[in-house]
Amino acid sequence: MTFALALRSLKAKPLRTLASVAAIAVAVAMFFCMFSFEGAVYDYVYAVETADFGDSDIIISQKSGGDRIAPDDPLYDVEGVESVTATVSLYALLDGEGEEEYLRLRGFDGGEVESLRDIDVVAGDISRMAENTDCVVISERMAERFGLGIDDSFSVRGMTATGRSVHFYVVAIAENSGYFASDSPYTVLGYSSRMSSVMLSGGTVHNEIFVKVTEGADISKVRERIAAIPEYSALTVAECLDLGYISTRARNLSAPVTIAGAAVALLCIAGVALVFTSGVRERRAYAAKLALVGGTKKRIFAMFALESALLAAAGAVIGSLVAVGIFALMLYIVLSSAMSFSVNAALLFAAAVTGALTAFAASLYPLVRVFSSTARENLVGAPEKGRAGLFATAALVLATLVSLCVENLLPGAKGALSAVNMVLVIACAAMAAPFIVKGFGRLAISSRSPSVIVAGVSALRERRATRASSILAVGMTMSMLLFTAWSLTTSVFSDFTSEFEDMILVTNLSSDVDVSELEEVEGVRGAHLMVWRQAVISADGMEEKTVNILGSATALELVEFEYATPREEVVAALAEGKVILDGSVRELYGVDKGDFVLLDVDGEIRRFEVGGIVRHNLFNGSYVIVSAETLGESFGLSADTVVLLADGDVGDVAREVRSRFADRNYYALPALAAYEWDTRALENVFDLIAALAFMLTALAYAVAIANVVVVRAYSERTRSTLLCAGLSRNGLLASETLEHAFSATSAFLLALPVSALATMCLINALRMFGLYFGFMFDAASAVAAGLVLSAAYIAVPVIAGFKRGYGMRRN
Amino acid sequence: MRMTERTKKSTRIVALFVALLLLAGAVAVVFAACDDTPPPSDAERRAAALEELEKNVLAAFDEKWLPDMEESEIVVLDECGSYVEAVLWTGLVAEVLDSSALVTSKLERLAAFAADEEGKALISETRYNSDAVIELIDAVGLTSVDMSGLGFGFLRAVVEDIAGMYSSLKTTLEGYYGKVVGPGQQDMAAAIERAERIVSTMGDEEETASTLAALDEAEEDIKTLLTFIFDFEQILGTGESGTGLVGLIGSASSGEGALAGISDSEMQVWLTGVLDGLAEAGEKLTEEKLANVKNALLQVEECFDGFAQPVDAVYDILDSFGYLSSFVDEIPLLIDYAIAAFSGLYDRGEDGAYTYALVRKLKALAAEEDEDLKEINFIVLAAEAFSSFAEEYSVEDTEKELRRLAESGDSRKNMLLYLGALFTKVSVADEDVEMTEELAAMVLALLRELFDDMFHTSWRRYVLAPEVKRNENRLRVSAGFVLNMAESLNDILIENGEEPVEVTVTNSGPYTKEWYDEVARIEKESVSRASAVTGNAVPSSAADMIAESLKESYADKERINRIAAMGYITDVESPAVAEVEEMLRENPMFVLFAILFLQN
Repeated sequence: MTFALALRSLKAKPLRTLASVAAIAVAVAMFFCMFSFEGAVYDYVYAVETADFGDSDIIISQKSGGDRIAPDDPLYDVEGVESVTATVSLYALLDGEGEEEYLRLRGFDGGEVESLRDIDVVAGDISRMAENTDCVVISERMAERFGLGIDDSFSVRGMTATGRSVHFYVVAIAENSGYFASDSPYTVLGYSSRMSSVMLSGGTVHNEIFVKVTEGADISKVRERIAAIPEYSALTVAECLDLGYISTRARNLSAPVTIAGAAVALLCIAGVALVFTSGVRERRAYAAKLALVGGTKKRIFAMFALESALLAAAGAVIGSLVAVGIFALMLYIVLSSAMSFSVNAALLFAAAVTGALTAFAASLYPLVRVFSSTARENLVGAPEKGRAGLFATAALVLATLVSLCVENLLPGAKGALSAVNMVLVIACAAMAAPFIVKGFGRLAISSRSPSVIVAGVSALRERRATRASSILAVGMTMSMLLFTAWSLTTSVFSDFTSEFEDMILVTNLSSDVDVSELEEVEGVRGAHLMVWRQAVISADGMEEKTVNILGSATALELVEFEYATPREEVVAALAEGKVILDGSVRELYGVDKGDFVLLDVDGEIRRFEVGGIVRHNLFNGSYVIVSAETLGESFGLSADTVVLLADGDVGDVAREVRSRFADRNYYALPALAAYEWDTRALENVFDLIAALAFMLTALAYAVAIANVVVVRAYSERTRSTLLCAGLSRNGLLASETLEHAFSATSAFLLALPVSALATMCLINALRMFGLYFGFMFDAASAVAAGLVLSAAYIAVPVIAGFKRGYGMRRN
Repeated sequence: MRMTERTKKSTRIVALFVALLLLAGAVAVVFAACDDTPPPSDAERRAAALEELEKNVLAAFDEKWLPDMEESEIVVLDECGSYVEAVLWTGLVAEVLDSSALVTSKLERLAAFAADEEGKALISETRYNSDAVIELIDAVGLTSVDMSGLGFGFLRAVVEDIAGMYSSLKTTLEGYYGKVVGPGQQDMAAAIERAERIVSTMGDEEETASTLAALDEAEEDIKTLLTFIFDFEQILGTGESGTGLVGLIGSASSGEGALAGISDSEMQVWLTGVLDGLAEAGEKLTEEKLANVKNALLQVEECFDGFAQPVDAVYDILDSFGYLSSFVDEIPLLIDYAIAAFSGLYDRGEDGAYTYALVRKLKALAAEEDEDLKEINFIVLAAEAFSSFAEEYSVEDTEKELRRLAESGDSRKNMLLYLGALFTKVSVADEDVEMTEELAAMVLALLRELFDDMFHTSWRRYVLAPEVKRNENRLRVSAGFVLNMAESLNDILIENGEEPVEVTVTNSGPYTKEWYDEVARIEKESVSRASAVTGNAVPSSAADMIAESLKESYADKERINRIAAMGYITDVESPAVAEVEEMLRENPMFVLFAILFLQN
């Protein structure tokens, strides 16, 4: 019986049922995306970072200032070594018309291209590699880019004085996975003898040797044994996998999306609550009728609960079904790659349960009113008396203010509390908006215009305006928040990339290179020789973090740093062998000038004093500045990169560098091109945030409209009465439009300042992911988002043709 | 507003017109999009590439030449005979390429290369010398796998088809002769005569068939050998920056090239890699394989004995195969010797690290500009190589190999022994060379070999261009020497009571194939009968002389080791230089060793 009643209730209001189920489904999908996104991005970054070496454990490669080619013979006698794969890896320019394109050539002995990992072939036959030493495997992406098919050929030029061209023939085309996961530049797999011939004819050389350690052996000990062999003293012997770096990269990509996704999910839940709240009068009446015919409170509650449960369950099921599709779409947008991923059933179940339970609780909230009133009150629908709402709002506002103070004044409070505060400030907006609407109402009733008076009375008496203002306040705030976040992140990113856009990275050079020769290239205004690599930094109170080393005192001239520590002190500190950190490290972990940090470079750990703090968004603050001399003394590192600052077209300047020094095998690439994968991925993240912002705005609008649709059904008698009383149709339309305006304006007036607070909380919440940004609020985007939403809501009566539905009806 | 009938009708007409327009557009789009023409198949592409190649190759020889020219067009060419011959050769090459394993894109690239200026120049050169062939291969970028396949294919095709090709050429030219007008007539007549002469020098079909059988049996082994030769040639390189051993060492010192500023350890890695590659390649050349190859190449040499190979480059290549057939079985030993000579690369110090002493010397030597210092340090390097070699191979080992060479009976190996022995005698500065009987025999043998070679070369040149007086003179002189040697031998044979070698011709001709065959018979019989008289005595004497010299060097090992341990000499006046020069004077074999293994 209870079930039948619940079902009947759902069928009686199909629109509300559908809206609720949709909202829950979207919430479940967004929860799943939130839970799974970082893991999926981590898997992708892991695949990209391990693309080169598969399941190898140790890599022996060239060392700046050291050797460029490596022997493999000594490795076979090292204890703990299971297998050795010697390869050659070098860059060459594709022969052809048009812009120069770098390719990465990877050669394997005997053409055994699957030595490190399997290759998924989409065309051709990999066994044909045995036919000839100039056979190669390329990626689908490269095949498409250059219009290459099976048995087609292409040629490359190495960076030698002879400009010797070497020809290759495609025998297989592979999926964009495995070796080709990032494929930037395009990777070509072939014979090491053929690849070596790009550099010199005759003989085969290897410059990347991968070692697989026997199961159970200690990788770091095997690495040490290899590093101790004299033949490898001038080479880098490092562990292949840097999980810290992979985590950092994954986190940087997923954090903004995770938080944006959470915002969308919460809005959906709020939407569910509001949809149910909008029908509370009808529910109260229904409950009263059930009570009158003998229904006990328990049974009535059970019926409503079952109704909510059915909605939650339906929403959870549908949400689970669409979750995978939405997740795949988000991954595709962010990573721009057809990557395979697995759906974690546990996470999907957790998302479904979370969404369902949250929606269930939200839908039951309005029932508090039902059971706190008498049957008569429920039937008659007597208005609320008392100031409970005002007190509750005031209490929430006060609590939020206190929490905000704690967050911003107490050291170390930022993070999880910020996320909570973000929700609280939005809740405050939702609760305060009705009061502003009522304020407008009071102002309106003193007008002479009948339409205005009617609008004012509706605002004061009817729930729909206040409810709409709450919905709009939440939606508008979150929309402004996301648009601001989008604007914030893109402007940060633009600042970051604008610093890089005139830089050229020149690698594969000797540490004793004469930089003045590079400075003589037309278009180059500065050249900085430095160590440019990664390290792991840690300190008291700070977890290990992978950072980029800017290994030169002249790194200060690369970008416009902000100096928390005066520049002279920073320069002096670098000369004294100290390190300079980004301000984000101080903000996030409290590491400051005078503290000590540990730097781990390829397993060698050294302790350094922090000599100063600077600030820049370079690498999201994940960098450390150290002088080259200090790195040389402490780690035996030599400068391995020259950073050129160029005027004009950096592409042209890079080409000029390549051409001028063709005989030296330099690899010169504009910095933005060198970090193309990262910049592209970040741009995609921002696009996703923008997409979510638009989606959320539309969702907020939809929820607001749904509310309008639901409540208008109950106010038809009132409209008829007004028309009968002499109010014109235009007047009635004006009244409804004004009512909408009260709701929208109230929401807007609150949403703008609240979104600024929410932005501050969001920025602070990103600290949970190890990200730090200074406070920025783009008022223009917030105002624009708010105005658009407001205008769209105000225009609803006109656009929806409310006037057509006006009529004087007897009942 | 109500529509009038007229308006409705107009509307319908307009709508119909628009609909027809859209339909027509859609049909046009469909037709344009549905292009049923399939892309060309691989066979079609291959045929087109070969056609293009033939066209470009002919154009490289002469801009006016095209494949499949009509008779009326051929007969008016200035060099119509040469044209017909060129067409036959390009056809042969095209057939070899078509039946090879080269992928179609490579053929297309070859065809495209033949069309540009560089390609044309190289192709034009290939008529005259085989170096241009190697350059062409390098320029097109074929691999050793390609080269071995093409090399074998070409060799086989030449053996199989050349007789038929020139017979057909003669017939074709005779067919055109009556129709040729203008200056082409003279060329045609000369070409016909030439073809007749060439055809007259051909061997019999039975010999061709047996050679083909031997080649087919040794196909894979020959390809293995060709791959090795090609790879080795790449390793040694030509001296340009970035190319091969010589280039690498040279450019490393000058700060250029891919491994500019190469460190000692990098050079070590590269050189040991080269040696490892050499050893690996050597292991593939088993005794059985080499025996197959030797047999096949000897048969090829026999098959073409007396044949006037018309194209110089082909002649050079076949000649090279001839030398290869003599020495191919020594390749594994030579590889072992080279590895032994460079084993100094692996010297380690007390700390277990490589000393890089040899590498440093190589780098310094490559960078040296002073010729005197270059020469002195070259000897020091040779001392090091000998020192390493002597660690692996005792004097008894080398003596054993020398004796084996002497007992092989191979005339070319014998010549090498004679040269070595003579060198050990004449390069000892303080002694006057006493012309012993053995030395005289060696000198004579060398001269005979020289004139025998000259005789065969002269015969070829004469057949191809009898009108050139010089060719006839050389033929007469060289044939005269052969016959005089036979007469001298006959005196000894008669004295020994043996049948003399029958000499039935003189060096005055007439110079026909029969005459040539006769002289060649006399030559072979003379050599064989002379060997029977002397037995292995002369080669054995030569081997003993070389062994004696080597013994002296081995006995002087202490001094040689001391010199080997010297660092790089930077002062021509230093006492070390005097010691080096003295060692050189007393160890002539050492110098020969250095020249053989280190000079390039």
